Amino acid sequence: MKVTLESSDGQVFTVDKEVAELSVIIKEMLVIEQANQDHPIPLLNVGAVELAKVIEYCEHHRNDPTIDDDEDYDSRKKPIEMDDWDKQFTIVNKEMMFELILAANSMQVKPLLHLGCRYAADIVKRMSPTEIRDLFQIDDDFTPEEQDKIEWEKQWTKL
Amino acid sequence: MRLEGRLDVDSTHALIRELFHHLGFVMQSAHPLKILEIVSYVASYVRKRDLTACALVSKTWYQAFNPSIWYDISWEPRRQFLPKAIHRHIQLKKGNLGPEIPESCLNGPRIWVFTDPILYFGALYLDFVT
Repeated sequence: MKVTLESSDGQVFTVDKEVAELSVIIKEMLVIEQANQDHPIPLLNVGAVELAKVIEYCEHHRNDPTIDDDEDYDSRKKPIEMDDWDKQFTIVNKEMMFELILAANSMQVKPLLHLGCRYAADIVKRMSPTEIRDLFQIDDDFTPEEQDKIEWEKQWTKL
Repeated sequence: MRLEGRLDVDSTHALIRELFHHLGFVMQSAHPLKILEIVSYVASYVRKRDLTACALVSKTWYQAFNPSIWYDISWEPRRQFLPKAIHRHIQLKKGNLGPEIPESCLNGPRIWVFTDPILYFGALYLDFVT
């Protein structure tokens, strides 16, 4: 059975139902909208480029066992497998990866979301807070009091 | 704008899409690493030695990484030792004298320690002297 998905800029993609169902959101939508199959499912905050990438990922991982529980992803307890295809897939610039993380988050494609987060975790390896802030353009929003508290905590964690 | 009659599915979709295009700039300015949920996922992949640096990036990151910096050891009830000292340890933390510990650790016979095994003894030492 085929399912049609529509990106925010109006591009329509046709995929197999079990591929689309890797997205928790679409899976739930399909249950609700069973009678209404002839209309494409609008994904209003996912662009065509990202949607194509997400579908590419889902096509490859269509036969993977589904992991529903977030606890299972805790990498320090049980690292998730990353095959050569995944490694190839993650060779993109960080803007693209961020868009993919956002898309995976809004479509709730859990394995892709975790792949993206793993990519981000790899980037911050051995970096100082300032370097991370500069790289990701995150503002330092600690107040002076919080700064003092953090300075105090730092001596505990031996930064 | 006034809506007349019943909306069919097509026009509803078109309407929603139009609305989202108006909101488009808001959607695009979303930064994944400013969303707590996503940063928490990142936290589960960061190596222990990088946790403290990450926690100091911003408030959101601090919130996301704090539970990973701390972790709990729970004893079997019969093997529990020094319950009084542990209680005092928790009181000390409640009184904001020690580093922040997540709320969840304040119930139950648990003690929260640093991920660093050397500092773990430092934390235990505090229990004895206070």
